[in-house]
Amino acid sequence: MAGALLNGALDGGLLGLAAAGFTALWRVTGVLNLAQGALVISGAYATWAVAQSAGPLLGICAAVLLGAVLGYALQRGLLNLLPRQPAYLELAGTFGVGLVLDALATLLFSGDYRSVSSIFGATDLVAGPAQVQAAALVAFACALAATYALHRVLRHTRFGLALRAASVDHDAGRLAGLPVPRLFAIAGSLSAAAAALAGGLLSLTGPFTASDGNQLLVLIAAAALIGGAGNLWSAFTAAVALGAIEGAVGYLAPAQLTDDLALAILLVAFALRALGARGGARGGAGGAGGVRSLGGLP
Amino acid sequence: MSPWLAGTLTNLCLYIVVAQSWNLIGGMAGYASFGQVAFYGVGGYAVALLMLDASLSFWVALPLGACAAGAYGLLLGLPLLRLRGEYFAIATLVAAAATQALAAWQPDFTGQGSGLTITTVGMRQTTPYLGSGGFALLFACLAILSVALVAGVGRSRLGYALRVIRDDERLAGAVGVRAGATKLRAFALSAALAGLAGGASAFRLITVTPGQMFNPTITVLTIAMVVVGGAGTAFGPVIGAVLLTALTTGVDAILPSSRNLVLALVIVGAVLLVPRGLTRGGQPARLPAGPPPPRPTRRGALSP
Repeated sequence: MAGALLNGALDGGLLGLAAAGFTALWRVTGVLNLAQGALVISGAYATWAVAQSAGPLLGICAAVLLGAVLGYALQRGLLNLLPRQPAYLELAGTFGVGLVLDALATLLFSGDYRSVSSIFGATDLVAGPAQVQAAALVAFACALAATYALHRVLRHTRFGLALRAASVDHDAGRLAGLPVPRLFAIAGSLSAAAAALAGGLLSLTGPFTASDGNQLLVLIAAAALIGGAGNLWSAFTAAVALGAIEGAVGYLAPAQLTDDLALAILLVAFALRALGARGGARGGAGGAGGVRSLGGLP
Repeated sequence: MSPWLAGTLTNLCLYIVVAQSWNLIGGMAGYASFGQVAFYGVGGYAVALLMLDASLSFWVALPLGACAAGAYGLLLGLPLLRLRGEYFAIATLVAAAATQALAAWQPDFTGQGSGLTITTVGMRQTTPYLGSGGFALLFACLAILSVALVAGVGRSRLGYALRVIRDDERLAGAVGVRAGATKLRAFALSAALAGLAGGASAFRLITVTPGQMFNPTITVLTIAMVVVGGAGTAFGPVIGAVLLTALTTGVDAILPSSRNLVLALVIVGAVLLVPRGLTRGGQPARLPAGPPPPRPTRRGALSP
C-alpha cells in the first residue's frame, strides 16, 4: 500500500510537470491547451526513436526540442490567430491538434506499447515497506527540477516579466513595444517542451502507447483545474496527489476508476472554491479574459 | 436503396442528431460541452441493457434510453453548469472520461471492456434487426426530429432565454430569466437527444464497447460540424454534417488508413478557416465588438 502510494506519487510528478506547463500557458494566454496529453506522448515517442541509436539522454533532448517546436507552431499557427473568439474554438482546435498528433503517432509507430530502457535498468530501491524504481525516482527529480526552472523563468527573468505584462493587457504591451505574439509563442513553446520532457521521462519509467494521450490529458487538466489557473506549484502538487491516489486506487480497486476519482476530486475542489469568497464558478462565459479573474490567486 | 447509400445516409443523419444535440447547449446557451459523448454512450448502454436484461422491444428501449441520458444530463448539469467557459468545458471532458471509466469498470452488467452484444437473432431477440434501409429511415426520422426540435426551441421562450444567457448571463438574471433552471433544461434536452442518437447507434452496431461509445473524438467532431455550419442556428449543423459526411466518405474510399488523421485535420481546419460558420450563425457568442472590459490591474498578475 505504501509502495503503491509512493510509486503513484512519483508517476504523478511527471504529470505534474506537464500540468505546470499547461497551467502556465493558461495563466499567460488564457488558453487551455488540450493537446498537452498528445504532446506528452509525442515526447515519449521522440525519446524512444532517438534512444534506439543515441541513448536515452539525447532522446530526452530530442523530445524537448520537438515539444518546443510543436508548441511554437501551435501557438503561432493556431492560437494567436483566434483572439476574441469563443473559448470553445480554442479548445476544439487544440484538441484537434492533439488528435492529429495521436493519429500521426499511430500511423508512424502503430499502436504497440513501447518503452525505453534507461541507464538505471530495473534497479529497485527499497525504503521500509516501499519499493521504488530508481528510474522513477530520477524521473521525478527531473520533473521537479524542470517545474522549478519553468517557475524561475516566468517569475524571475526579463522574459517572464514581459510575458506577464503582455498577459495583463495585450494592447498596452504592444504599445510598450513588446512583441506580444512572439512572447506568447515562446510561452507556448515552453509549455509544450515541459509536456514533451514529461513524456520523455515517462518513456523511461514505463510502457506507453499512442492512445494514452487522452487519459493523460484528463489527469493533466484535472490537476491544473484543481490547482487553479496559473499556479504552477498547486498544479504540480495536485498532480502528485492524483498520482498517489491513482496508485492507491490501483492497489485496492480496478485502475479504470482513476478518472472517476479525478472527477470526484475536481467537483469537490470546485465546490470548495465556490463556497469560498472568490468562487471559481465566476467569470466571463467563454471569454479569454474571464480566466484571469478566476482562480482567486494573489 | 443500395446498402452503401443507406449506410452513408445513416451516418449523415447520425451526425446531424449529435450536432444538434451539441448545438442546443453549446451553440444556443454558449456552454461548450466537451463531454457530449457521455450522453451518447449512456443512451447506447441503456438501450443495450434494456433490450438484453429487461427484454424490452427496441421501440420501447429507445425512448427510455433517451430519458436515461436526459436524467444523467440533469445529474451532471446540476454541479457542472455552475461553471463557465473553460472550466465548464474541462469539467465536462473529465465527466465523460469518468463515465467511460464507470462503464468499463462496473463488472456485472456492462460487460466491462469487452462491452455488450444485443441479441439480434434466435429466440431471445426482442426486435428484428432493422437492416441498412430500416436504419436509414430511423436515423432520418431522428434527424428531422432533432432539426425540428432545435428550430422549435429557437423560436420558443426557452430559446430566447438561452440566447440571453449566452450573450450575458448577468443580464439574463436582470430581465427575469432563471438562468440555472433554463440551462439545466437545455442541457437535459441536449443530453436526451445525444442519448437518442447513441441508443439507435447501439442497436445498429449490435455490440457496444466503452472505447467506442465514449470516444471523445465524437464530441470534438460534433463541435467541428457545428462550428463549420454555424452555431446556434437550426440548419448550420445540417450543413456541417453534410460536409463532414462527404469528406469522410471520400477519405474512406481513397485512404482508409488515415481516416483519423483526416478527421483531426478537419477539426483544426474548421476552427482556423471558418470559426464563424458558413452560415455566419455562431457569430454573436458575445456582444458586438467594443472596447474590451477593463481588467483588474494588480501587482504580480502571474504567481506561479
